[in-house]
Amino acid sequence: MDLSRQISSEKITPPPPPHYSLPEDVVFTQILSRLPVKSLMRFKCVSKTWFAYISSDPDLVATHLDRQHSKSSLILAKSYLNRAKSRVFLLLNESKTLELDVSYISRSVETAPSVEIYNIVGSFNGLLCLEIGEPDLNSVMLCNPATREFRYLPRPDFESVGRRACFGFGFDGDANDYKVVRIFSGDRGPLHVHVYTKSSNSWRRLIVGGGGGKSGLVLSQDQSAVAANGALYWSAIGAATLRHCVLSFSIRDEVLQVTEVPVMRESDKFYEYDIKLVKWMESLVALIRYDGFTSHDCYFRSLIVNGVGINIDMMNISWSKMFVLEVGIPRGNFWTCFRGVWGESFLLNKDSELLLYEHPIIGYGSDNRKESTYWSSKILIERLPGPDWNFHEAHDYVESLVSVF
Amino acid sequence: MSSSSTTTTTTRLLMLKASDGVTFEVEEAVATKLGAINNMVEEEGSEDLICLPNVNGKFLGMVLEWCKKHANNNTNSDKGNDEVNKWWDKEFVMDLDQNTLYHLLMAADYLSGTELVDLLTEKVASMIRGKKVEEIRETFKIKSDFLPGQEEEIRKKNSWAFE
Repeated sequence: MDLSRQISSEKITPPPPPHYSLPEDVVFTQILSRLPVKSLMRFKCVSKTWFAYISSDPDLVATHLDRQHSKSSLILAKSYLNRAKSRVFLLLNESKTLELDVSYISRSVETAPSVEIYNIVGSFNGLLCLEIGEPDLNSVMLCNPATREFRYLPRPDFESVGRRACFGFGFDGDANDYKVVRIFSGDRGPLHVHVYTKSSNSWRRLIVGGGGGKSGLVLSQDQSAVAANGALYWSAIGAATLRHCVLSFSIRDEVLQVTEVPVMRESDKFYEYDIKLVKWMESLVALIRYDGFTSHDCYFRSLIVNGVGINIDMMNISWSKMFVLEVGIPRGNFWTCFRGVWGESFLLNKDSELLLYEHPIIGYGSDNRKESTYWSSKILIERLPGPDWNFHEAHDYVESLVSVF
Repeated sequence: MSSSSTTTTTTRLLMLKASDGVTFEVEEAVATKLGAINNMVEEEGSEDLICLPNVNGKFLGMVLEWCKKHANNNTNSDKGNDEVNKWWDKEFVMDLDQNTLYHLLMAADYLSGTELVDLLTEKVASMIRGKKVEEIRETFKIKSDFLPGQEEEIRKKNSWAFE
């Protein structure tokens, strides 16, 4: 029998009143909610009451999460020579990073030779959604790196559509539930969308009509959804129009919508630009790269999504331009080393180092591409073990007691 | 200048009597920072002597000292007040030994001094976060009630937390 069930089914006889003791509320809600998760995992051994409380009290989980003010960021590092190797770093602040021990995941399956983390799909309230092993396996788990709990998601009963799926991970605050979305897309036919909910531990198929640009939509591989404002966003290209789009999925209502990214001055050569979606200052931002004819002739324009929220009425997506920026890195390089945002800064991977670029904003609303950005960079992490190592996408992270079950 | 009459508006004084008979004369605005006293004042009206049989004079004095500092700092609405309060809070809890901290926390909890409870529990948390299981039992006067083998099993499962 499971230990926690065994202990909770045993009668907990209240201990004889000690000669003095703090009120339970003070000890449990007030004091324990201020402790790091590692201490709490250790203090499960104090007594049955402490074990039961730390293992499963919803108030402690909620209060503990509420108290997590300082946000850190998680970033996955991988070696492209040895794909069976990955490491996870926690960026605590500009000068402090911590490597997380995730070896327990690779030890979890005896039969598989390599069950390394392939990709971090998303991060919410201390829970991570991870793609495990070779990407074509579409093997996904939920993991809480603070408690070291993890759980493989069941395989959906319905067919895989052959290719690798694109994933997204979101939190439905109203239902207090977590959802994983996987989407198979192709240049012909409709999207195949499957939704997993943590509470039911099962997958559902979402019926998607082909209208509204949802047919023949190709999602960018290797990019999981960006979560912002209660929705998930994937960048995609319409197979027929070759136009860049954003596919959005409202986490609560499960409404899918396709919005074209407005092409500005360069509309005659729209295929020469590229888009990356990021969450920046709590909003979804599309970073658009325009390539010119010389290697340095490259600049970025960002668009912020307006009017998308958790409302069922998602028809009013609009875009407003925020900034134009020019980077002092030859074109192509910036894009391949861009790893995400942290606070207001950008994280870049360069020569196996992680750099923090501060103040990447200039020229609000300006069309003048001659405005330049003055970048300052800081090195965040010591070098990775070798030149074959790279940092991948960064995700916001807070430590929590939230259970994967 | 600042010698206006605002500070001399009728500040009612309350008499607080601790369990050991020690009494404190405190301005109402200071004492009502404590939720329990605020309730007593509101419910029972203009009673001037409030008996607090669960709090010893030494600790009641400390709680009131904290209230007074915070009440004073909050009257002049300066931006630096938060900083002053923080600095002062730090000083207040810095050298508290475990026994004093415990009694102070009991008093603050009994008197519903929410902010003070926050401050003190934060201090307790910072003191115990690195402790061993045995030290926690000692601190909180808890006896292990696990059946033989149970504790070992939990330890084994979370062995990384003991490193």
